[in-house]
Amino acid sequence: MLYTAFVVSSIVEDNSIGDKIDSHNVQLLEQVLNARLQLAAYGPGLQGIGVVFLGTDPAEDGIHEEEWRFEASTGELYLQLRLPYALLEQASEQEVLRLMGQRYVQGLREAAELVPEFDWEGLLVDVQGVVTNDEFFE
Amino acid sequence: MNTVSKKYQSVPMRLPAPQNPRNPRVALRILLLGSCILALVAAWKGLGFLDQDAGGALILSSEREAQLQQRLRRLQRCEQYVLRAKSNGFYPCYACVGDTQIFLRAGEVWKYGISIRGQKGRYGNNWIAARGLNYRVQYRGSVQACLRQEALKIYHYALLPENIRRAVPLMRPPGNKVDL
Repeated sequence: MLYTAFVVSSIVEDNSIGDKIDSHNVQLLEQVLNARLQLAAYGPGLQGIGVVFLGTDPAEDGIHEEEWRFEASTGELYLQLRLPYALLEQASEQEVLRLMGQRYVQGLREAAELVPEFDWEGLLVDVQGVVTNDEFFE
Repeated sequence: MNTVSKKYQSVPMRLPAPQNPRNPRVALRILLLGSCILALVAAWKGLGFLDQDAGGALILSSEREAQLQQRLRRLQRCEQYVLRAKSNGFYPCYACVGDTQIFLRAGEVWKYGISIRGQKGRYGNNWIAARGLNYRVQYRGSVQACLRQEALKIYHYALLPENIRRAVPLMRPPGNKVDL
């Protein structure tokens, strides 16, 4: 069971790219989503969303893959979403946060068909509003 | 003439019938027939892991052989990871004496482990998100090499500053039930 409605985590390598993802950004994204959005407001079909960002080098990582899974028994959606590795190396921590926000929205859009009877349009608009808000990146 | 020779006198002696030397082709046919029957029985019983080669000998089915090769490849693609607390809070503790939970600060180690491709299917990665942990790959190599790295990390955990400063230091990370 997820401990809060919006849970964000990561699988990264122990290097500077990993530092840009999991030292601060993962926690910030989770906190902001939970502070600004009420998942219950979009319908009863979804109780929680757990997103794990993959920030590993796809050429080296033969283990972790993207994943979209809805567990009907708990009403929880689990996504494993790969970040564009080629862009991560040059990106600043703030730019990495922006990439995470974009992938988050895209991942939700891809997962929408897994959970019917849910206001995906509303959630997507609101999540987009959160992760593109300039305040979010300050 | 004694009584015994009288008794058998009228019965002509018979030599055993000459046996033709066995044709090796017959033996081969029997072997082939046996293999066919075995293969048919295997297929009938749902044992699709067996097949026959050109000579009729039993071999692993192509699917099973491919599974084996894939498994061998996976054993060469292993990673040793560390799970760290994402934020300050209480986490399950399997290494604590008398406690089931421990307070960890963000970034502190919860567990060291190894993973090969295919484990995700069995355990899933959901628990990484559900427990508030972040996953970092520390080493990639063969299973043997990953096990070695894992052992080094688990044993040396006792010496980490984050552990030493505790009133009662742990022998191994909170999320590791055993040394290996």
